[in-house]
Amino acid sequence: MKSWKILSIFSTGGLGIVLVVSFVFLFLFTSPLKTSSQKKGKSPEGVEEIAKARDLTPQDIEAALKTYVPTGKYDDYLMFCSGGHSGQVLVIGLPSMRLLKLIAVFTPEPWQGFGYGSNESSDILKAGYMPVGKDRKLSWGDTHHPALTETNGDYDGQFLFINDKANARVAVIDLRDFETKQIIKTPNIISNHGTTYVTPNTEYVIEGSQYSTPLPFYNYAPIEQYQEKYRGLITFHKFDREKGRIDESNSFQIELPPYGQDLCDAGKKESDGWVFCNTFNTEMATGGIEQGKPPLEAGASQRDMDYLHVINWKKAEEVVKAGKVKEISGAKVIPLETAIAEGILYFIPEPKSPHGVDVAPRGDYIVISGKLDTHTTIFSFDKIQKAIAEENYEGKDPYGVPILNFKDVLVAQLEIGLGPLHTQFDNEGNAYTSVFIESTLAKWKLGEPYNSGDQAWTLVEKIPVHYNIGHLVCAEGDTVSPDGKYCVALNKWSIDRFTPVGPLHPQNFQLIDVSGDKMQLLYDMPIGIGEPHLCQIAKTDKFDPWLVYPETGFNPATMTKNPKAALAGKERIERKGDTVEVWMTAIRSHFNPEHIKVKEGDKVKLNITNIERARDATHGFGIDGYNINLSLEPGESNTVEFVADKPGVYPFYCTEFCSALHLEMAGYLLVEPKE
Amino acid sequence: MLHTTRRIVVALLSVAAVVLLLASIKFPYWKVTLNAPQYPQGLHVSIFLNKVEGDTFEVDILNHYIGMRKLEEAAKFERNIAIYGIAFVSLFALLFVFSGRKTMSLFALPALIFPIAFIADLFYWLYNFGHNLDPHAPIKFTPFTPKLVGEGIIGQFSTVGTFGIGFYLVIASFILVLTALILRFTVCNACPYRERCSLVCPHLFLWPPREHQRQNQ
Repeated sequence: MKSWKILSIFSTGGLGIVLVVSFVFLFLFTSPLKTSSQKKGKSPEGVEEIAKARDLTPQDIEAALKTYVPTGKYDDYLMFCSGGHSGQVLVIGLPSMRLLKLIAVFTPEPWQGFGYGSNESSDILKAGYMPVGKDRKLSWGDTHHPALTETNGDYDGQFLFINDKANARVAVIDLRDFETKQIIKTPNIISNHGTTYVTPNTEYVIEGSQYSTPLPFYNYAPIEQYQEKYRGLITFHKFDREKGRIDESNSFQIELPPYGQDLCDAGKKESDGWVFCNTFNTEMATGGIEQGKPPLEAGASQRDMDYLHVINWKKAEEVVKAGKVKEISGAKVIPLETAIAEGILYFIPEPKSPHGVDVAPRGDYIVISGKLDTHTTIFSFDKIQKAIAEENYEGKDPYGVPILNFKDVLVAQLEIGLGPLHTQFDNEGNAYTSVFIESTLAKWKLGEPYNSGDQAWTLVEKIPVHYNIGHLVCAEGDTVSPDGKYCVALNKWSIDRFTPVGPLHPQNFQLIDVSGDKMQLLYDMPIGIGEPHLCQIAKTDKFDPWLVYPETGFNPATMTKNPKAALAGKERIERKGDTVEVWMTAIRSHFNPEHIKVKEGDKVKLNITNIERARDATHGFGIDGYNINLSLEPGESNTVEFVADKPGVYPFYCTEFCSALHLEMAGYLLVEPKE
Repeated sequence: MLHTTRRIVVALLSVAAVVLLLASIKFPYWKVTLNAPQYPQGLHVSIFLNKVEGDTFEVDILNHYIGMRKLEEAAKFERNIAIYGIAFVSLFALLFVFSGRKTMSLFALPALIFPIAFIADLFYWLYNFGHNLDPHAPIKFTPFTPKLVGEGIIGQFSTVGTFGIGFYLVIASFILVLTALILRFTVCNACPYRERCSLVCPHLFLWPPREHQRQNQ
């Protein structure tokens, strides 16, 4: 019966229905299927053809897909890098590795109008001239270690600090406008390296001196008196977050033996209140190769161990409050004897000539890497505290500083490779260490409570980098909550990695994907300015920068509206004696006024405001022949003072291509010669 | 016929029309958006009855290149009297309910004229601004009238004019008053006292004459 029923569908009208339906199906579905299959067939061909033509491997394509940020889209992370001896800071987007900005810090920079006539920027630079008050002009710096402000050990995206190793200075950058706000010439020292590091709530910015000198450095003492007269120093710069400035009156310093203090890191979470700094010259070698003495590099490497400094900064703060300090050139300094007597300073032997000291995310481990040792050495903060509490010392150094027993505080020593330097962390209990001599990046596992059993303290993987990796940086990798995802190898040499551009080679930043089981090298970014050292990577949503200045007439140096700023409708020129003061506005496409008539020898004071409110409507203001150039971002007001000492006719013009009539945005400074 | 319901409806329509008129003050009547490559979000100017809001500063900067006056200078008088004008129209729309048969059209008139007058005035100012360009402007432009509604092209800008909620509220009040007027005609034409009407309805429209009530009882 059933079979008959089925058959009956085919007979009679049923067959017709089935045929029609199937035709409809064919029409509806096969034609789009055909076209989509044609497309599918075609597009891989396109990619393959491009890949073939450009000689790209499947790994290359994968790397391209992981790093390409489509036109108009934003990066996930911002990376702040020191610009080395360019004296600047670089802001780079990740994963695209595009350079977004150069922030002028210690070096005048004309595009940003930094140090080219504006009082606002020149005053910041002048505050960093050295020694304090002696007015020696410095126009470069050697930036090494940037530090973002932290709240509870995590980046808060408000400010950035950067050091100048060459002159022992520290600068503050406000991340509302990404501009330098303050440069401090640190008293007493002339060289720093373990700088800048912040305490978990940015109470202090830490600056460790590097090459020891007499204190202050301009008090001469012969090199033969190195052990008696030369000293190291660690400075705790008090940061006033409200004002966005370092408050020198509440900063202090601690005197240290002349051991060549190196990098530092602040404790966090359980080790909050402590700071750890390396040293590389407990031999107190001074070199003297010309006198037949061993060169410094050899002299400073004779002993197997140098001393990790363990510093209790909360105790030091109390000691300063109690007034147990001496004043050296205006700075409060805790003398070495006081630091020892008050339990502020302890030493731990560490494998010689270490480079990095890095505190694990929970604050429980301190990771030391010595360039001349193949191991990474891990100390336990708990064990350090126990040894200090029990006064379990192996002895004292020549200056009387108690030395903890290496074995008592050691947790592990991990064979990493030749020349381990610096360590950062991810969110899965892994540590990443740069290995300089081998040119690799090593991934290894931390112990309890990050990893247990067999996993603890094991080397996982190494990946070659190109070449001579110094620091490395991982996404939020030195905070209490690292992100993982990306690390960047900050390579000193690039050798053959880029198209040759003469003997001075770019440095090489290599982006590495650390999210998978295997690390993958994604991208090489040449750095053609200075030699960057350290970077910090933070998620972009941690930042909320201004797009234009919040008010018209804004002074970026004070971060407030300048009550005397030139405003629309109030433009004027006033002469008082031999001083000519001008209130000028800039707007597309004119300055007002456009003629400034002065007499030779007149003092000229310009107050110029960009009264624009449109995003990116920046105007420049350059005066030909007078070495003046300003960058007036929308709302910004600057002042310029100069003596019109050269008679003649000097055009001034907008140095930013602001509009179609940009070339017409100009005027004349007319300097009439004296009779 | 008592037309009690219609009387109430007329009153409600008039009150609703007044509410809409008053509410319209808070909303833009007309909006213009300028789109150009360097303004990914566009520039937006909103014309309220008594003010101009939005990216006027930027639009003024751009307009100065072709010698157009600042937006602030347009319809100054109209904007200054706008609130009184709305009060006047609203008052008439309310009085309309109680007005006499012969004068009721007169009282309804302001609310009916208002949207037309607004468009006419806006058009006048668009024309005026586009035809009184500063001859010393950096860019010489043939006089033009920016488009009231729809897309126009000025230089690299495409301008899109649209009416705003405020204007639609006024149109709604126009329809309400017109409906009320028609309803009133139907009621008043049937009224036995229609010949006694003067400026004001003798029984104030809402309260039908007693005679009527008795008759129906």
